[in-house]
Amino acid sequence: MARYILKRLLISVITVWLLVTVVFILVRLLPGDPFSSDKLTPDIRANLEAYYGFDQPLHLQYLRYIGNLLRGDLGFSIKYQNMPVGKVIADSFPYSADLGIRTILFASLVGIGLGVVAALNRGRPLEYLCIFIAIAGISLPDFITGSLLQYFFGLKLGWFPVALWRSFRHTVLPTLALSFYTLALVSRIMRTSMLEVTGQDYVRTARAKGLPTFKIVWRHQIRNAILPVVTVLGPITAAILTGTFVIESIYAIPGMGKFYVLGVQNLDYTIILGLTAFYGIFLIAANFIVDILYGLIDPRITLADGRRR
Amino acid sequence: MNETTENKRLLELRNLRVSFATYGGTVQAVRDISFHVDGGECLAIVGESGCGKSVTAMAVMKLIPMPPGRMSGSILFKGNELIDLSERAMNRIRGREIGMIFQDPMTSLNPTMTVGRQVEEILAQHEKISREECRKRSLEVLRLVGIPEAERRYGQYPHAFSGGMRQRVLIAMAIACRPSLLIADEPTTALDVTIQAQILDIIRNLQKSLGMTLLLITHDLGVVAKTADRIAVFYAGQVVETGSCDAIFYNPSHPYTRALLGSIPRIDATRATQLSAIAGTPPDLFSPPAGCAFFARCTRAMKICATLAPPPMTVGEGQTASCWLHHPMAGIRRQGAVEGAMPR
Ligand SMILES: Nc1ncnc2c1ncn2[C@@H]1O[C@H](COP(=O)(O)OP(=O)(O)OP(=O)(O)O)[C@@H](O)[C@H]1O
Ligand SMILES: [Mg+2]
Repeated sequence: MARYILKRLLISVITVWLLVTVVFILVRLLPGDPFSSDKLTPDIRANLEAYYGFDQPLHLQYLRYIGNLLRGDLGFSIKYQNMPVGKVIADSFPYSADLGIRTILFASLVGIGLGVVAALNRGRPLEYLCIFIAIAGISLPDFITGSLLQYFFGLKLGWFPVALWRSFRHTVLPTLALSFYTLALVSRIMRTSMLEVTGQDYVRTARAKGLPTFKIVWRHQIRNAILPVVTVLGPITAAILTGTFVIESIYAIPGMGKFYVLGVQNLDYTIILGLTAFYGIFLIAANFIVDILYGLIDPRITLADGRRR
Repeated sequence: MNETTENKRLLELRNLRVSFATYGGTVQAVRDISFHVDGGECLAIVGESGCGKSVTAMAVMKLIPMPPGRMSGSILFKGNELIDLSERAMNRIRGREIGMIFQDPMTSLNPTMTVGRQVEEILAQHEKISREECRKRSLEVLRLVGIPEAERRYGQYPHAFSGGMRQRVLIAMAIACRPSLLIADEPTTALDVTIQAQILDIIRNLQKSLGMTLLLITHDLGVVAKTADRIAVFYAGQVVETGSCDAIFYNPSHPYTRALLGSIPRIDATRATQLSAIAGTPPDLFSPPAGCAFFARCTRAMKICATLAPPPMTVGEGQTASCWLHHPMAGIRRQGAVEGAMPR
C-alpha cells in the first residue's frame, strides 16, 4: 500500500509538471500578449516586459517559473497589479469549494436516489419521470437552468435571494442550478448499473434467502451498482470545486471561475498557469480518492499494485 | 387433508403453467406440469436443455420475474397453496422452509459481502437469535459443508474461494435454517469432475442427516442413478414420464426416456454399439404442437400422436408415461414399432 501511494505520488508530480509545461507553451503560442493595448507607449511596454521578465529567453522564463512553482510561489497576476496568484486562489477558492461541495453532495445523493427509484420501477410512470429529469438535466445548459431558477424562485415567487452568497438561503438556487447536470448524469448511470445488477445471480440468491426487497436493494444491489458512479464523480468533483464560470457569474458569487475566464481573455499568463496547476493537483487528488474508494467498495480491487484478482 | 398425507406429500404441483411474454411472442416454458415430491425422498428432474427444469424450480420458490412471466395452476407445499401467496408470506418460506442451490457458484455469491455475512444474513432473517449466536451457527454450517479453517475463511470475500468452495458456501446458506425441502438446480454442472463428486456427496449426506427432502435437477443420469428415489422426465415443458429410479432405468416406458437412456455412454459397450443421439430438435416453445411434443422425433409415432396429446397413463406401480403406446387400444403396436411413420 505504501509503495503504491509513493508510486502514485511520483506519477502525480510528473503529471502536474507536464500539464504546467504544456500550458506554459500553449499560452505563449496564443496570438497577442498581456500588454497588447493601444494606450501603452513602447517605453512603458518595454518596462513592463522587463519587470515581468518577458524580455528574457523563453527557456529561462520557463526555468524560473518552475523554480518558483516548486517553492509554492505562483507569481503575481499581470492584470491585477500587486495581486499574487496565490492570494487570488485563497480568496476565491473557498466560495467555489463551498458551492461545489454542496453541489456534489446534493447531486450524488439525489442522483443515486433517482437512479435506484427508476430501476426499481421498470416500465412504470415513475421510471419515465426519472428518465425525463435525466434527459432534461443533461441537455439543458446551466445558464438556462440558472436563469430559470432565478426568474421563478427568486423573482416571481421570491422564495430565495436572486444572487450573492451570504446565508444558506443564498446557496439554494446556485446549488440547484449547478447540480442539475451532475444529478442527471449520476441518475442515468445509476439506473443502468442497477438494472444490470438486478439480473445478477447473487441477487437471485438473495431473493431465495427470503430477504425483503429493501434489504436486497440496499445490501446486495446498491453497493454493487455504485462503482460506475464513483468513477464519474471523481473528475466532476474536481471540475466543480475549482469554480464554474457561468453559475458563479449569474449568481454573482466571488468564486474562482471568473478568474479563469478573465485570465484567458486577458492572456494573464501567471493566472492561467497558476489556476491550471491548482486544478491539475485537485483532479489528481480526486482520482486518487476514487481509487481508494474503489478498494473500499469492491474487495476484489486491491491497491497493492493496482492489480485485479 | 389428514396428517399423514400432508407429511407424505411435501410438495405437489398440479397443472402448473409458466409462460414468458417476449418481443418474439409468448414462450410457454412450462406446460401443464403435475408431479409431487414426498417427504424425505429425493426426486430427480431430468431432461435436455431448455425443457423447463429451472423454470419449474424457480416457480416453486415463486422467483419467476413477473412480468414478463405468468404462472397458473397449483403449487401445494405442506398442503398450503403457494401460487397466490403474498410476497411477504412467500419470504417466510423462501430460505426457511425451502432452500435453493443454483447452477453457477461463481456468480451466485455477492462479491462485495464477506462469506460469513452472507451466511449470517439468512439466519438473522428467519430466526430470532443474538449476533453471537448467529455467528456461531454460521460457522457451524460452514464446517458442516466441509469448509476447512472456517474461522479464517469467515471474513473473506467470495473472490478468495474456488468454485467448489463457493458451492459449499451456497449449500451452507441453503441449509442454514434447516429447510424441509432443498432444491438443487444442477448444483455440479459448473464444477470440475473431481469436485462434482464431493459436492454431491455433501448434498446426499446432508439430506440424510438433516432428514431433508431433495428436489434435484440434473443432466447427469449417473448422478440420478446414485441419488434419486424417483425420477420425473421432462420434455418441452411437460412431464413425459415419472416413476421410481429402478422403474425408469429398467423399464423406461416413454420413447423419449428410452432415447435419453440410449444416449448415455456405457463402459461395457462394444466398439460396434454406437452412442445414439436423439435425432431432430425439441419443438418450438412459442407455438408447441397440438399433439405429442415428442411426435416429430419419435421412432414409434402413430397417427393419433400428431393430433392429440397423450394424458399420463399408468404403466406400473407408481409409474406413469404420457404416451399413446400405453393406451389399451395400442396394445398390439406396443411390440412392433411403426417405423417410418414420422414425417420428415
Ligand atoms: N425470463 C425468461 N424470459 C423468457 N424466456 C425464458 C425466461 N426464463 C426461461 N425462459 C425460457 O424457458 C425455457 C425453459 O428454460 P429453463 O431455464 O427452465 O430450461 P432448463 O431445463 O433449466 O435448461 P438447462 O438445462 O439449460 O438449464 C427456455 O426456452 C427459456 O428460453
Ligand atoms: Mg436450468
